[in-house]
Amino acid sequence: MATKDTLQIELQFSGGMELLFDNQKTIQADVPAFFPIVTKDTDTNQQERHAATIRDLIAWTSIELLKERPELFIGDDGSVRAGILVLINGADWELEGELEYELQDKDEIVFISTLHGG
Amino acid sequence: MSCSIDEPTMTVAEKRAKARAVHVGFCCKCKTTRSTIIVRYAEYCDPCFLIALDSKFRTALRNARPYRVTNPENVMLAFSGGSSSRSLIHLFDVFHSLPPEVTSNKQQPKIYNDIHVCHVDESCLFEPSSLQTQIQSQGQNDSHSKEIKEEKLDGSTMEQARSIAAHYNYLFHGVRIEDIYDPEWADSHCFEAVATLVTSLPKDQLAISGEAPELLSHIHPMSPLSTSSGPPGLSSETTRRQKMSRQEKIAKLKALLAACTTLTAKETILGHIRSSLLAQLAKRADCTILALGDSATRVAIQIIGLTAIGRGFSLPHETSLESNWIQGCKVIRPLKDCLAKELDTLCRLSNLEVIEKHTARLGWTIQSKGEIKSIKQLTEEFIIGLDKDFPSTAATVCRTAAKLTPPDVQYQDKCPLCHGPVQAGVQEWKKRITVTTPPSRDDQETAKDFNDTCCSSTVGTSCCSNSNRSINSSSSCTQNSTKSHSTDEKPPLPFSSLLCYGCLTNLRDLNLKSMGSLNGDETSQFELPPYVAWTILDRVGYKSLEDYENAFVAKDTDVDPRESLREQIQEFLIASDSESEE
Repeated sequence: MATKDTLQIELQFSGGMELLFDNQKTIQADVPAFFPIVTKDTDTNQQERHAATIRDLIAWTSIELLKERPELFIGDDGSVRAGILVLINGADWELEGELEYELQDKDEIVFISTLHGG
Repeated sequence: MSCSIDEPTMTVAEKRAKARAVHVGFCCKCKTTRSTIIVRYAEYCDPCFLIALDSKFRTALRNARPYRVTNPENVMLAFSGGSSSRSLIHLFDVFHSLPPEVTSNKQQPKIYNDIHVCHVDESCLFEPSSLQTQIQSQGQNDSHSKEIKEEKLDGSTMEQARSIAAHYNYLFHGVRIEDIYDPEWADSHCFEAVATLVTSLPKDQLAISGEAPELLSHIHPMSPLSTSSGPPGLSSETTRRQKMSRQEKIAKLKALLAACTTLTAKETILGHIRSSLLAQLAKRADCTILALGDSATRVAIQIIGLTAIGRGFSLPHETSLESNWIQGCKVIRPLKDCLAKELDTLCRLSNLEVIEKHTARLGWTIQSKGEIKSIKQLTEEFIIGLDKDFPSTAATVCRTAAKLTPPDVQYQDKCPLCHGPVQAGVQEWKKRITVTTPPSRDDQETAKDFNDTCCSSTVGTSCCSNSNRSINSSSSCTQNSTKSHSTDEKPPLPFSSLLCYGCLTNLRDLNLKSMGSLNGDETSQFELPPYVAWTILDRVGYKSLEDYENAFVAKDTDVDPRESLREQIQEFLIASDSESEE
């Protein structure tokens, strides 16, 4: 399917999330299209490498782009922290299969923090 | 279709949603468009979601305040800058801007007269380090003009809030959180005094006695130089009218927060200050309704969090759809049925501008290696974590607590600190249920004896209060001791006994070392804002600051029985006087 090695993904952060990403509201990211199958508890496919999913994107983002306080972005289970709204091309990620959604080129992923407490 | 095993565990909302979803993946309302939003099992497309949310808001607003009103009232919208209160402004605007033909045809009276927006700027309490990074990032893109730079250096949220309100042509009222130390934010509009706390025990006994000491308060008129400089008569009104600088107010606020040893206590006190300001803002703008943007998620967190910190008594007032507790200002929460997720979605769909960094996170004020979390933050994580797997959590908690009825307490008997209702006899009850002393009391008795003997030789001041303590008549003795030691000091007023249970519990986290002691040799390191001072005086029975001072002056002249005591300890008196003069 995807022949390119990287996918162009537009990441958007709002609701306070941008503070974790050096105040960038939008980041154009070139995300690897395939990820090697990791030996962690996130086993997904039977191949040597699998197409990038949201789960991979979250892990990749937290390593490559996240500037501070990873505990405010990433949760225990490799997902985002509870209370962060994720939208894939304008639709709630719950409708798209959450973590298992396979990234497509030119996807637009929005992260909104709903935690506002002081 | 669905497996029978699943059915008993399905919630009502889930069942209803399943029944409604004719086509999987399509909006449950219009059933023609692919759904993009999922809220508690119900799937919506963008337009249908907005309609549903708007009608939810209208229903709540109607329940909070029936439409059939004789005279329209002014409403104040509390705007923090977050997505919930931002949605509140937007929804109010949609609600109030009916098409002209509707309003002209039916001759309907306006439901709300003027809509005001208020904002409390907490930027002075923002984390300094991140502020610095903000400055750095500002320096990089140097296209900004210098003025904007300075405004942003400040981290102030005021202008942003003002421009949002201006966009809707609403009247804007802004106040900084440190302005709580301004005399004008007390109930009497101009109350130029602050309160300081003293403990009923001298410093050297605090460590020995496990008991929480009774807290007493002093009311100090605000003066430009220092609180004790003015003569007892204090007739020089004009000199006291000098306004405090912003830095002074910030310093006072920070000193108060620094005296709290836990993050929970800091947050709670800041919350009281915030709500006090909001209520004052509403009253001053002649708004009889104060609308808060608390979402269902927020209310659920509040319900659990407030219960945990001992504020269950005032819970109905702080979480209900409508509360008539504050005199002359009804508090409504029309977004109480909307989840935070829904409001965030609304902000995104309607392109509503929010202020990203608007609430002060006080975590940085506590120096520690690990991350410290307050009860509120822990509750937030608990509710939101639970809500992820059980999307009905917030709604269930809210619905359960909505059954609570407000306590039958007079507004006059409000707690000085939080202005909430005070249950009678909380102190006695708290004493009964709390174990503060270790079982081996013998050591302490001897320690106390030791103190008694040693003080006669050196420290006369602690001797006096020590013996008073043993007599166990604290109210009379406190007067004696202060009068005798420093004549220009007014007798302390009660403080602990005026507090509600929640505040009493919260103040256990105040650092006792930062408070003054009764013998006057150490002064309190922090001051409570004027609204607290005013409420203390009001509760004790004085009508105004002058009333209080005059009463004291009168008492001071004609009280004779204390004179003998004064003579007895004359030796120490001179010593302490000369000390204070230095």
